[in-house]
Amino acid sequence: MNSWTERANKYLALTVLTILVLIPLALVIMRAVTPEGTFEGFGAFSILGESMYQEILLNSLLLGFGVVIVSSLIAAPLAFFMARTELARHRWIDVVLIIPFMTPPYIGAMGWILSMQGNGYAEQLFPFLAPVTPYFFTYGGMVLVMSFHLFPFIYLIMRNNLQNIGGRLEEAGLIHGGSFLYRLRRIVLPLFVSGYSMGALLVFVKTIGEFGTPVTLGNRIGFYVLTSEIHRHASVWPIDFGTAAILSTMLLSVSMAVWYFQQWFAGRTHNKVVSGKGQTSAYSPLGKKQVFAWLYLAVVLGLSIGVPYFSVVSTAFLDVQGSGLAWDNVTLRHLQDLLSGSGAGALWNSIWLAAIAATVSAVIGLWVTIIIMKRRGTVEKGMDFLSIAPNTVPGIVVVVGLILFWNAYWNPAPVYNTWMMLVTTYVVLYIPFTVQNIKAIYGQLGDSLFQAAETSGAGPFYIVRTILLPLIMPGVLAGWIMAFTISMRELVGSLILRPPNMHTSATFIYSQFEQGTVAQGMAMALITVIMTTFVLIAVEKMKERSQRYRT
Amino acid sequence: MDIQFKQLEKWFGQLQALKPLSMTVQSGEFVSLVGPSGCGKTTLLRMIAGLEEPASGAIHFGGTAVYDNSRKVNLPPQKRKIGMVFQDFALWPHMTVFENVAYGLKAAGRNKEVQEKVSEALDNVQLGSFQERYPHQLSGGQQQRVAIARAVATDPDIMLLDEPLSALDASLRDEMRILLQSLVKKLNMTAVYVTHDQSEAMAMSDRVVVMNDGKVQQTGTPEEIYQRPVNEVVASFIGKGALIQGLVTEVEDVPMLKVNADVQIPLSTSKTKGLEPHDWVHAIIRPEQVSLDTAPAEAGIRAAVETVSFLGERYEVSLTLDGSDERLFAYTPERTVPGQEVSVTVRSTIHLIQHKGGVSREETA
Repeated sequence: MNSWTERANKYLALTVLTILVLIPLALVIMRAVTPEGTFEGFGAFSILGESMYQEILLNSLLLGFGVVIVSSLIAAPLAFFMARTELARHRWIDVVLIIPFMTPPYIGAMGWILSMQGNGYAEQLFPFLAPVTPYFFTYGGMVLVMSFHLFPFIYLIMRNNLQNIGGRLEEAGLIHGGSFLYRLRRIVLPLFVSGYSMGALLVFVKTIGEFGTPVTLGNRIGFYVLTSEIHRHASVWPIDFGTAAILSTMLLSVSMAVWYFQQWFAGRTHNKVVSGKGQTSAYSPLGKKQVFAWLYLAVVLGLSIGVPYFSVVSTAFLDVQGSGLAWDNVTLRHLQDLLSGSGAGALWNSIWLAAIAATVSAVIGLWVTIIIMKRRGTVEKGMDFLSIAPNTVPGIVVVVGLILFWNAYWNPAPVYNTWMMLVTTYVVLYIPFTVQNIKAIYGQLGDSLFQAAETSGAGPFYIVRTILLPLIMPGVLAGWIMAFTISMRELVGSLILRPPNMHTSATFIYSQFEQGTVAQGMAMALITVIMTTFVLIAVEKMKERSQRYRT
Repeated sequence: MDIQFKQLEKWFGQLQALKPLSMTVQSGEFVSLVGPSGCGKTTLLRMIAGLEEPASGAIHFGGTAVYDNSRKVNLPPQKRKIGMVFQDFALWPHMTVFENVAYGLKAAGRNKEVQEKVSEALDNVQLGSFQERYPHQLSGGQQQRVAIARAVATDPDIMLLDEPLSALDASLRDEMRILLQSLVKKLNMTAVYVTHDQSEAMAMSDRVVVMNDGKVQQTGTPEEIYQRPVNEVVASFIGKGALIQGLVTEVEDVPMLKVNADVQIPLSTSKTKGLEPHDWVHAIIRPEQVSLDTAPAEAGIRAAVETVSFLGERYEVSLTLDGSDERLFAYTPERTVPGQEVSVTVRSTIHLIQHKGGVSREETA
């Protein structure tokens, strides 16, 4: 491959990323400062002076802080148990703890609503809860639902952090005569804080960018946040893209500001643990007191998995909702109706749209990764940034950008309002997953593997075909499956960008729920969750297999 | 096939990784590049392989340029027809032993020879029965032997070895060293071997190139380098011994090395050629040039035992000279104890290095 084709290839990839990612995001900011086509500077932001928007911004921030605090409180004891006590030996707990995070948030929120609403499952099973359940439909309830969705994230970061600090570093403190509290204050906490700040930041950004819970639970209780308002302005008459763009820019700015703050904070501390070989973990055995740890785990799992899934499954199988939980009220009717009615079409749409989108993003991901891993110039760094950006920006902001670009009067591509728009949306949203998966595997390959091939007399294409592709294929497949799974249940983009009369499984669930025909919606939710779970398990198995020939 | 460097240079930004170097590695010669890390030895090897592009100069293989800055020649590694063994083995994890070794032959389209050549190469490293294994199913020593088989399978005339033994356990290293040494000679290849282990370099090579700070300090046979180092850098890097500063004097026509008022070592006249009285020199005193007498004798230098190490066939002791900060090393068959007073005699044939401008023949070789 001569340098001319190499360069052409590189700039072609850059162009593709620019069209898919950079232009839409740039248009959001452009549109925010030029709502009527003329530059008004930051004048447009004067709507922020209106108390209604101030309240929305405040709601978003309150929600973010609330979820960070509550999810940290849920996660901290678990992280301690799994890093420092006998429970650590049970690796399956880690896998189970990921389930809440992998559950689409809108399905989780719907499950909670069905449980807690008047005469819901909570009251049916535990009548004494009746006076409590109304409190669920408040700010507190939203924080709770979102915290039980996002805590696995902060748990993983806390646990890894504790494991890294553990062992030798604490033992050294012990030997040098530090008391428990002194060690906690001087060793564990300082080392813990910066890692934790990263986890807290990610949860905060995910919370304020989250769409599923605000649009289901939040809209029901009148707790409006940035994402649900952007959705309203972008899809409900009177449509106002200008305001949607301004709110998107706000959401983007808050995310970036928090991100910047965290970077600044983490930069102040220098605590990359230097270590020789063999960090050992220090266990503080609980003995009989283990019971409490297991009990706590059971409560957390019950609330984060039990409640929503119980509701989903019950609703899907109950013949007449009003008749409540009873064995003679169980039916398969809803599943049958779903698969013979319009639901089947929606499910099928989701499958083929996701398959195309996953394939396209895997191909683009592979293409981009090979270029950015080869050399680290400015262009490559820019491409790296662009390929990850859709994952750091709230999904709804990306969606607004896609509308502004593909729906623009000057854009000749006949994509908007067709199925291609959905594919494009999924591709843009999930390129980061394929890129990250491929990069993770590519990064483990030493340079000498390729140099050995060069000195063996292999040309560049031969090396790509015989060495590079076979070695990174597991990453490409894992990326494909990830992209496929999350595309299949993607809600925000599908809801706003689907062509008329085309449903996907996610929009089907949402509209069934909104119309009050929850049984079919939950039957669909059950099917998608089961399907995606199987796929995710398959990915885990595959990752294990690809580890096999690594020494 | 010989390898020729002509005014070869390399820069990494502001750092000159290789100062202009002209040298020839003879056909069939085993040459080691040795020096501390960052001395430029690996850079030089990678430039021979074509994995690194020099800043200027030329590299010729058997009279043909593979790199020539002035004529804009720069063959990529795959066209240089070399074999290379890497420090981390660099075996492809998704291929069997057979596929790894066959790779170069298949890449070159020599499909008919594959079976025969691969078996031959694997037999050479005693791994004939391991063809269907994957690299992760082999031990470290076996993995490196596969890497060696892979490097020789295509019959290259030139073999490049980048610290091939450093990732192996000490017990495996000797075995692998002998295997490599004999294989390279048997196949009559020109070998360039990079290592930071001077004893490995001396044990294996026909010629040793000592490098430091991007500059070749000395080139010569292992014996030359050991016995007649040209400067302090080479002297302290190669072999065991003490580097002691002193003044050349003459007492009753016998040349002496005056370390201080009390310590004077007689020198052989063959070693003081070209030196004037009152020249400052460094003397390199190897342990085998020091003999030790536990019974205090008038003639010897008085010293005290500092540490004693048992080496199996003998003891190595470090000694502090009376009235001096200098330390000597010596071998002795007897056990001594730290603090013991001894008398020391140093052979008159110790090698001297003149301070500043001390040019010796070896540097231009």
